[in-house]
Parts: sequence; C-alpha cells; structure tokens
Amino acid sequence: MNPSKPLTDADIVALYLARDEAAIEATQRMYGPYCLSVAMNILNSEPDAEECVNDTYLKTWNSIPPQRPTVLRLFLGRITRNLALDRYRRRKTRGLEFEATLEELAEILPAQEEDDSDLPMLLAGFLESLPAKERDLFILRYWHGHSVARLSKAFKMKPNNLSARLYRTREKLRAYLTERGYSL
Amino acid sequence: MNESMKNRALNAFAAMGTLPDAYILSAEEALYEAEAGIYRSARPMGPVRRFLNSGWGAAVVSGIVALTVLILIIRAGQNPPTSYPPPVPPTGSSIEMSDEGVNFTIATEQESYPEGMNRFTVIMTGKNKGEVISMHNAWYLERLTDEGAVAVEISYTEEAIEAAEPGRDEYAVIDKHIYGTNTGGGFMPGTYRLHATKHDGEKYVSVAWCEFTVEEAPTFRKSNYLGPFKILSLSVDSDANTVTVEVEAIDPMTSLVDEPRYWYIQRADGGSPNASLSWYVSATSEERFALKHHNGDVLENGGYARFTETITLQFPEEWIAGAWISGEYTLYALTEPLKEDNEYFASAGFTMDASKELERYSARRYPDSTKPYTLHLMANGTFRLIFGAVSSRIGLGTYEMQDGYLYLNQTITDEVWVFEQVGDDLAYREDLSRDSVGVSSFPDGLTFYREYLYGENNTE
Repeated sequence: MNPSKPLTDADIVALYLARDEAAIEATQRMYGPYCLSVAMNILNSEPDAEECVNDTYLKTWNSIPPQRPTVLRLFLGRITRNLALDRYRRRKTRGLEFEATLEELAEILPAQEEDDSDLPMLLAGFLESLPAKERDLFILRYWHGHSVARLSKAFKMKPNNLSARLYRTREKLRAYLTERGYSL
Repeated sequence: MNESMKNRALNAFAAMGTLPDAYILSAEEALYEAEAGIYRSARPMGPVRRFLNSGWGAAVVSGIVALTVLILIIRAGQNPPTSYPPPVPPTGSSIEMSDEGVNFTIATEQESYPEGMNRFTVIMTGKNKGEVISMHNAWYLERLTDEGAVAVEISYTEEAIEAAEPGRDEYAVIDKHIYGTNTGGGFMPGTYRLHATKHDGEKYVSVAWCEFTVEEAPTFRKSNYLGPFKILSLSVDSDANTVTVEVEAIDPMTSLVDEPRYWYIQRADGGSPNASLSWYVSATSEERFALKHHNGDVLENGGYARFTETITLQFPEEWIAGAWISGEYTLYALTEPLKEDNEYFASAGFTMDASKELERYSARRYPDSTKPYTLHLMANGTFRLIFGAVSSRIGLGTYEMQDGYLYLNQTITDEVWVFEQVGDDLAYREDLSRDSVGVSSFPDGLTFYREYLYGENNTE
C-alpha cells in the first residue's frame, strides 16, 4: 500500500481479512468521527458515544470476515447506530433532541401491538416513492437522528418549515402503511 | 409518550437501519453538499425546464454552474461537514495551507516549547461543537527543515470538550494533548507546524495551524581536564527517583570539599532537549555537598578521598508524572553551570526502569461492555487509566493513597478522581471527585476490581 495515499474501503477491508490490527487504526482514523457523530445524535453524551464507537471497532473486527462490506462507512454506521440504540434503551437520562425524534416516529406507529416484522420492507417501499429531497430529509432525520436545527440550517429552511415538511412526509407514510393493512 | 410507545418508536428507529445503502448515501451526500454550500435540486420546473433544455438554456446553465463553482471555491472550508469522514493526511509531504483559519483557531499553552517529555497542548475553539469533535483525528504535524517539511507521527490523548456557554454547543473548546510517538521520548530540535486538516474532495487543506520551536539540546564533550574526581560506581533507585554515585578524588591530596561540581543528566539518545534542561539536579554542588557529604574524607585505597552523592530528580510541578521515563541516561559531571556547549570531566551511563506496575484494576461501565476501563498504578507514583479499546482517551497523572481513598490527580486537566477502597477493590466516589468537564463520566459507585498486585502470587 502506498502510505502517501489515503486508504480505500477495499484496502481497509483487506486488512481485516488479513487479521492485521492496522485495520482498526485505519478504521478509527477514517471513520471515527463519523461513527462518533452517529452515536452522539442518539446518545448526546460523548463518553457513552465514544464507548459505542470503541465497541463498533471490535464488533467490526469480529464481523469481517465473514462479511465483506463494500461501503465500509455505512457498515460501521449501522453497527454504531444499533449499539447506540441499545445504550439509549438502558440509560436513565434521555436526550431531548432524540426524544423528539422518537415522538415523531411514534405518530406513525400502529395503535395496537402489531407485528412489525414487515416494517423495514414497507419503509423501503415508501421511501422509493418519495422525491429525492423529501427522502433525503426523512433519512437524515430518522436514520441519522440529526436535529431539526442542523437540517434547517444546512438546507436553508426555517425550522418550522422543515418540521412541517417532515410532518407531511410522516402523514404520507401513515397513509402508505394504512393502505397496506396497518391500523393507526 | 408512555414507555410502551417509546419502545415501539425505538423499534421503528431501529428498523430504519435496514434501509438500502443507496438511500443513506444519497442523504449523506445531500447534507454534505448542503453544508458545503450547494444543494442539488431534482424538482422538474415545467416551462423553465423546457427553456433550460434549449441551446440558450444550456448556455445560461453553464454560466450559472461556473459562477456556482467559483462561489464554492471561495466558500470551501467555511462549514466543514461533520458527517464526512476526514481522510488520513499523507505522510512525508507538506499539505496545502488555507488562507484563513476558518472556524478553528489553535493556541498552544506553551509559547514556543512543548511541555513534558513528548507532548504539547493545543486549545481549539470552534463555532460548531460537532465540527470540533470531527477534528478528532485530523491533525497533522510537520517539522520544517532546510530540505522541506517532514511529517512527524503523532497520537492524541485526553481531550476535554466544554462549551463556552453552558447549554450551547455552538462554541466549543478542546484541550487536546498531542504526543510524539518517536521512541526518543521527545521532539527533535527544530521548528514544527501543527495543522488541523480537512479534505476538500481533492487534497488536504489545513484549516488552522500553529508553529512552535523546540530548542537545541545542550551538547557535552569530554574535557582534557581530568577533573577533581572520577566516578567509581552508580546505582539507581527508580522507586525513589534517585541516582547515587560514588566518586573518588583523582589526586590523593584533594579533599574534594571545596571543589565545585555540577551534575547533569541527559537521555542517552540526546534527542530530547526537555530531558537535559529539566532533569538536572536541583541543587548546586555546594548545597549537595553540604547535605550529603560524609563528615571528613573517607580514606581508602591508599589515601584517596571518596564519598557518595545522591542525586534526586526534581520536576516542575506542571510535569505530567513527576518521574523518570524508562530508558538510557548519561550522567555528566561538570565544573561549571550548564551552557549550550559543555565540557565534562566525568560521566556514567545508567538505565532507569520506572515502568514497574504495582496494581491493576478494571471496570465495566455496562455489563456487556466489550472492553473494560483499566487502571494501572505504577511504582513511580504515576497512573494510567485507559478508557476504551482503541481510544485516544487516556488518563495520566500521579496518585496517592490516603486513609482508605485513592486519589488520581490528573495533570493534564485539574481533575481529581477519588476512589474508596472496598476490600481489594475501588469504588468511584463522585461526590469527592472533581471532574468539572465530565471527562470521565464515571457513574457514582462504579467498581474497579483488582486484577493484579505486584508480588502477590503472580509471575509478572
């Protein structure tokens, strides 16, 4: 590997496959801040977030092989996201911003305790039907957990306008789920 | 929202994690571009679009694109996205420097001299806490030489992030300590430039930098002068931070009482000026003589005066550990105070091994934490507290045991972590600790279990 060139995902995955511990350092350098950002959006606590990120590295080490991700960033991001959610469930104190995200999601959930196993597939189908910008905003809010403040600043929208836009998208999702048998 | 609904919402949030990569990548890129100043719009514009598809429309679009690109070039770097992973800066070559330090400023606590054996401190201020956090691993250090800039490998430890105003994360200060990883234990003399970097899609750009200088180490060369004495032997007590030398007069007629002498210690590799300047004996020979000299000359070996002198290491209070670094040293005896270029009449080499671990503890913040915290208490009075698996966070400082409590005194910050001894273990006492920036965030009562005790039925 040419040390003067940044490592590609394929390079880093190759290190994992070769059981070379330089893979972890490379992962940390390339994607540490990204994973930290993902964890912080949920946990809003740097020590907890950093612990999640550390656990991500070890979990990644234990996952590759057999897995061979092509987009390492998202592979790591998903692991961090899940670990952060687990931490969040166990914590006593909660972050206000992430609570708001959850409340928004709660609006579109079935009223009764129904089988949610189809939800991921339905979500993917719903998002496919959305215009690109609307889909982007939905994912940035409900996959990454970015705050309304940050998204409104980035996309140069007033927070109220952004919130209204997300609300309309959630209403569309509610209608989409209702049509497919979910009672809300 | 009741707990049941919250759990359902968490499940829904978790379900979002299975969405196709393409959607997530697209969303991340949109945020990145939006924060970099551009945003792609995919909405059809009806009649406008028809115009744009025409020849005139194409020309207009080209002009707009050119202008947008120009605006992007000017605004590049003003709002670095936090979700974009900063690539590793290239080694062995200098990086391009931006015209302005946007969003970040770097200030070293030491004006021109790194503190400690191989570390220095930077204080970053940023407008966006997320952006400041994202600079976690985007540092680059180079030494400026006549042949050009040479990259220096570094690592990072212990950072405290605090908001300038409580509750606001728009203004953040990071107190970051950066360590050189060269085995010489310090930075070579020279001028250094430290960069906070980002990648603009094509090349690495420094968004803020500072320069500092490491002074040349004093040099030592053997004098033709025999000197008043020779060094017979040297012994080391690493626990007590002392070096004891036994000397004998060259001339049997010399009592050594009135001979001035100055002792200096330097790391054997000569690459750490910190060592030679800071690790000299605190007292002059006259004082040492007055404290340590035996009453009268010891007449041995045919009448040659002989006595022993004990040298105790003295450190400035702000030093990280107040103790020797393990390694090879040289003791020089001079007849004059230290200068840039020194002649010595006697010298001796010795090895200091200050890294003996006395006790080790571990704690798990959560039952399923894959890597516990580990606390190491060393023989030289220092501690190391390692926070994570591949974490840049390490607690360092000195420790003391007093009345059933262990005090960890951080020298990087002013934090003091206090643990109560509970049998063989330690329990964190939040009420007695001072952790003003929440670096540790240990929950009250977190138990560190003893794993190792020097000399207790172990082979280490």
